[in-house]
Amino acid sequence: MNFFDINTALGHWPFQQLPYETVDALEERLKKYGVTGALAVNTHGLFYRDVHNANIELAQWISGNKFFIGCASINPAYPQWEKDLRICVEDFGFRAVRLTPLYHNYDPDGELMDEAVSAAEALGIAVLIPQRIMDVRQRHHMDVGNIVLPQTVFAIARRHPGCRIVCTETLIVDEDLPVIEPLKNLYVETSRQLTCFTGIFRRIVDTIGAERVIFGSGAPFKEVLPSVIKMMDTGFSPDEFNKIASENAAKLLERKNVL
Amino acid sequence: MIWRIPEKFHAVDAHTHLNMMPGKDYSALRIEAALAMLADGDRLGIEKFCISLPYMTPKVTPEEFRRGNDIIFDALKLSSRYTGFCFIDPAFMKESCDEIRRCVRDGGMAGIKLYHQFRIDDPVFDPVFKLCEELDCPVLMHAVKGEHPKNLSNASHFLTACRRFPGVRFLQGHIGGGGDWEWTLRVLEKSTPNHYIDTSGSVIDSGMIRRTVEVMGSDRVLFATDMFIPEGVGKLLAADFDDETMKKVCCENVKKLLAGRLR
Repeated sequence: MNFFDINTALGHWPFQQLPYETVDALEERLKKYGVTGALAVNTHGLFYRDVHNANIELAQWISGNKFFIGCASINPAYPQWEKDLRICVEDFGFRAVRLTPLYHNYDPDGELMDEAVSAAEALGIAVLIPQRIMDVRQRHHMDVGNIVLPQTVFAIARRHPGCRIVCTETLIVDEDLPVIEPLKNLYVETSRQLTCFTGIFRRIVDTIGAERVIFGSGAPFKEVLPSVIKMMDTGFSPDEFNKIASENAAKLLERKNVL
Repeated sequence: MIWRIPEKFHAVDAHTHLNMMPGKDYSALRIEAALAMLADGDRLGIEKFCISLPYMTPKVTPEEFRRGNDIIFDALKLSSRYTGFCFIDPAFMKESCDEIRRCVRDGGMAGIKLYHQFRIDDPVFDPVFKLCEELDCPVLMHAVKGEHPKNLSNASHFLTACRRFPGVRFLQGHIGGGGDWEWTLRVLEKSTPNHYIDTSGSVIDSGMIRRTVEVMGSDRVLFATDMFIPEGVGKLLAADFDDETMKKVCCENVKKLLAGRLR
């Protein structure tokens, strides 16, 4: 068993005390469940006016650490974001960018989103778009109350076939399957997919292929073990399991076709 | 790494449903899904399931709730691993009390299940709770700290009901059912001995289950999934409880709640 987790975060969440907020604590927690590496964003930096300071912090935290790979936080509505993204990739060695339009006050389906995705594509890195950071049913009144609709992310993937887009924290339902099947640049992260007698997790893999499904836990917001159990209990072949658990992430985090 | 509940804990899922996911079906028992749930339990270490089939509409006619309860009876015939909870709507008081007698007193179901047709502290429930006290059966109700719908019960409402009816055992549904569970735990610091809570729901926040036991003690927290089986098993195991606590949360507490009615 060897998992790479593409959905983790380091730092503090202003509305809820989280366990395992630091590099050492989260690494120890993830290793307990067989996770041998993880992609991480800066948790509280999401709320900085100048979000690039979150990237600088994250780079400092994980400097010299072999477990975590950095994921950039970018606000395309803020000055110099293209420069910041390039610094993240070329100087800090980050291998993906997370876009959170509802927290940075731009249209998830608008021009700024397209510009940010195009910039990521030019740098050859993947884009993570979470449907939500916090379950809106339990949000603090000052937190964001909406979600990024999955259909919006699907449309972004359709408009940017050369950019690898990952739906994180996104609940996929049966109606989505024929829509996402032809979007070969769209990937699904596992943490919210349902298993057991609903069986949708299995049908996602059957529909889009194991190559486009990537393990993630949502730690430290969420417990790691439920995501691991879903992997262990869904009846994947060894080949499917290895792809979802770690191999796809390794490929996703390689820089591709840098313009 | 352990990723199923060890057999030695004889885990009982104290709060789950049949015929509700994906989509609700009140026409007949989905036998394939009911068997699949048992198979899920085999793989993940759940011996028994407490099931009900509530309606989520504002008003539920006696014909409707009887139909739902009959589906539960069909599940009880399918497997002795199922224990039933009877759903009623007290808008129809006489019929509700008759249904509790049919299902619990005469039919072998273990308790009653309530949804948000009324809040748990609404006096409309008084005759129902008196009957539950007489029959020595528990009350399980859907609960969340949230704003909608207007009759949604939260922990504070349970405190009131528990104090008004100290002879009735109340099971507050799903600490992880969505809503501010930290608020719920602060309220539960004042809970009474007849107030229980289950671990179910889709929310798998880090540390939530461990903190629930820290607040409630290990005698009044019950393992449950509310259909989210890997999530429920995973967050329970992630709490890293000692064996004594696991025995209580997985099995002993639900036996105590059901007072000999677990099948």
